[in-house]
Amino acid sequence: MSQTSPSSSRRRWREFLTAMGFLGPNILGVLVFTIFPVLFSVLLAFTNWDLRLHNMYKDNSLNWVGFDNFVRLFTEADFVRFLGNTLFLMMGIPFAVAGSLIAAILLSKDTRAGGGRTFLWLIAASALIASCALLTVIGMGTSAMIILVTGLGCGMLALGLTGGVTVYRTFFYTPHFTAGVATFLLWKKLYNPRTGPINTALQPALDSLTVAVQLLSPSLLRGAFWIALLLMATLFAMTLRKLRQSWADGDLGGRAMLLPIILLTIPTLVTWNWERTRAASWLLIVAVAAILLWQGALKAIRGRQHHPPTPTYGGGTALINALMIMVLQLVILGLGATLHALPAMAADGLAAPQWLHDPHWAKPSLMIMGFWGALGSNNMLLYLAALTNVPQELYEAADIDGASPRQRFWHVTWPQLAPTTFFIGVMSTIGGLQGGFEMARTMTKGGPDGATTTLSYFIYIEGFETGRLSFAAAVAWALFVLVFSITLFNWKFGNKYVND
Amino acid sequence: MSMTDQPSSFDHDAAKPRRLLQALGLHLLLTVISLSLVLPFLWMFLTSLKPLAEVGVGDWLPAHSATIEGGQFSEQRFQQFRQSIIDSDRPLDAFLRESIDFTAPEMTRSSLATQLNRTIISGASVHTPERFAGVDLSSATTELLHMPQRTSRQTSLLNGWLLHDAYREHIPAPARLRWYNYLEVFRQIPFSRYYINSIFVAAWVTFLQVLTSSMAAFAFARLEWPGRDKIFVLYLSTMMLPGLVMMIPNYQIMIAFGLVDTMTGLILPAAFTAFGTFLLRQFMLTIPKSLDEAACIDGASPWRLYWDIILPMARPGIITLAIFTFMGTYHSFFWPLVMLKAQHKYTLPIGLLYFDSTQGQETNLLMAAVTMSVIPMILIFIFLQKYLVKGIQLGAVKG
Repeated sequence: MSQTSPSSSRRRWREFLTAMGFLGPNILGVLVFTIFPVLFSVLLAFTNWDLRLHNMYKDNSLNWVGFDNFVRLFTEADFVRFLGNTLFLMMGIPFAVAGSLIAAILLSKDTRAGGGRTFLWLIAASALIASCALLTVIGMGTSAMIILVTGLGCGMLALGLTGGVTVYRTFFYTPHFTAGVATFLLWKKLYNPRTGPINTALQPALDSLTVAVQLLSPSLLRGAFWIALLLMATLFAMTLRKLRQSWADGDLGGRAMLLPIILLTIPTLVTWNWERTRAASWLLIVAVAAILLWQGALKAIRGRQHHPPTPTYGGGTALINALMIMVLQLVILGLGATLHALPAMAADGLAAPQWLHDPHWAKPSLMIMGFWGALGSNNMLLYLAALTNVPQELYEAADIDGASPRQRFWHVTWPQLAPTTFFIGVMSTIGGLQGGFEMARTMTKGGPDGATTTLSYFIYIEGFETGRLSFAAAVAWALFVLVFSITLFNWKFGNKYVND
Repeated sequence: MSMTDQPSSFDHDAAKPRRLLQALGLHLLLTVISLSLVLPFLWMFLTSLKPLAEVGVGDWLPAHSATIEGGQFSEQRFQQFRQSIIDSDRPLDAFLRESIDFTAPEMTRSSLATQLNRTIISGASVHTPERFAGVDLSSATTELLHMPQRTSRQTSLLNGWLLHDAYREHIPAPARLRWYNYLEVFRQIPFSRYYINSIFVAAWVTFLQVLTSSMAAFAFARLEWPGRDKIFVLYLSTMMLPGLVMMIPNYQIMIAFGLVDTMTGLILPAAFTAFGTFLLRQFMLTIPKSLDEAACIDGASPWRLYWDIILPMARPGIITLAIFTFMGTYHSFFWPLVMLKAQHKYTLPIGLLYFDSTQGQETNLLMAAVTMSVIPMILIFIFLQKYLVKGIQLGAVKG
């Protein structure tokens, strides 16, 4: 091979030229619109290019400023705050993933009923007739809305009975497929505190709830609060026990346990902000510390039976599970705290939230909307494909062992879906870090009071409205570092699945 | 107890009804979920058919007040309506004759609508229910009538309902749906222009993307040349770079080329991506190699191989890429937002945003515009979902 004949090298040269002929247009475009801007952006981040300083009227010199822009990220409060907003909005991801998994499982079930289709039709038709008759009899005839919705439901059912799963899949996927400025504007109107349908439906319900709460004794609701705390501590103990067990079984490396445990303690620390229930948060912290010590002691005493290949083995799955549990803990705590505060809130009547106009409600509003769009998203389709690939023999074996449906899910389906879940988790995290721009621009303008400004909207504001080009580039690169570290994480832990 | 212990496949008689019930339950569950996912769209559509005064009323259906406003009340009906009020001896009609001069020759449809809107409620009639004797009022109307204080929206709503209850025969039910809102959108903003712009940009981006990506993918998947794999890895790594990093420099490039606020500037940066190349390469790798060899023996040039053999074989992949690119461009928001300045160049998302910022208070019109931009997408999905689903499951997920 050391000696290449002239004809062979000419042939290689010709091959290269042919390939370049095909590659040329695309490579040129990628060079001009991807590679060059990226390099340009790196340089930009180290200068002080600011349209307020460098424009037609002012001609300040353009200087290298070294890492000033990056230092400014942390000295100016905005970046950290908007990063916090972005992370807060990303808490919706576990719910979205769980929702799309449930949707996929429902859609993957056998909806055919053998030869009983006529029978099903009969039931559906009689349900339709019965409901219409019932509505007329009990005098709902005036409420055309109910008839419309019932009719729509029956129509969907009839379509589903004839078309099968594809029909439902279409309905499930529609919110995701149409997501964009149009649906964001739609939701903005749905959330309108005065004229939106959410509040016009919610306010009567809240009025009756107010009456109910005023009748209940406050101590009952306080009791519910303590139950929530107990539940949260139990969840913590169970997760920790599970972690220790998989450590003992050699499914989890020692070092890989660290990050999940830290994540799991975060909800407990959050309670410290609640001024009025300081005693409760003390108790919770003590309980969590006791559980940690107890499980740590068990770990030391019992030791492990098997050893994992590396200290960080299994860290990816453990981390994603811990993230989900953490969000669940936060939800339980939030519910408990709401119950605790309910009597005080109901004193002067419960008002429907102001949704996008309220700094506290704006982010949850966006998360609810995100859930609507994410239930039938691409993730659902990925799960659907993965579910059909689960070997049928595993289910048959589980049936022979007499597994309950729950056991079938946790011991067969869930482990088999782990690679898909991991992929979806990583992709959603990357997407979530860069997301939120369209919603912020169309629905809230980043407000109220910056509550919905995510990093991507921040870059837009700085780069295209304020004109601090260099600072915006620095923010973009900081965001890239975050995304890149997640990609690295994916490479480190995801390879295990790719090789399987 | 003994029935459940037996394997279900052995007792057909016991298993069949249970299985049917299970299937029915599943169908019902799926229907309920589908219905709740579709509800926002139902509200959108129904609201787009309402007059503004009815937006935000508990009832989702358009009620009656649309009927007296412009465009819904034909000239002939107007004359009949006028005559019946002059002829009738109902107290309500007598009251109307007192407050409005129905015999005035200059009375037109719109002037009557305005006067009616002002007259009925603001007059003494509210406090004298006997005026409505003989008029069969709906429960909602009565409820509103007895309300001691009303907002201005409720007042105009009451006007509409009252008119409808009193003169039902002149104001037919189908006219409740205010299709006129859709025309109004086209009157207020150049909506068709936005459609055309969006489709124009999306079609060009799709064409360029499919052409250049398939050529590049062909070079990566079917040709042997030195340095191929190294360059491919470089290509792959560019996919990881977040688009946000490139936005600011790209905008400066557009300023330098003088392409700001042009369609070219909108199309070019989106037309060349590593993603499309990657997707099509994966697809082309699955086409059997023997085809190339057969073509080479026949003396076909690489171009002929690409155009006549590989391109037709890769059609499912190309269609998938085309749909993704088209939809992505149709939805794209950031780049058009910063690039476009002149109103007549707006694409649909930017046009919608502009409409929201200027006429956003008119929820009914906004919903009509939203409906019109959502429907094409739903249709595209229904007809092309076979390719889309396959494409996503192949790993063509991006964002």
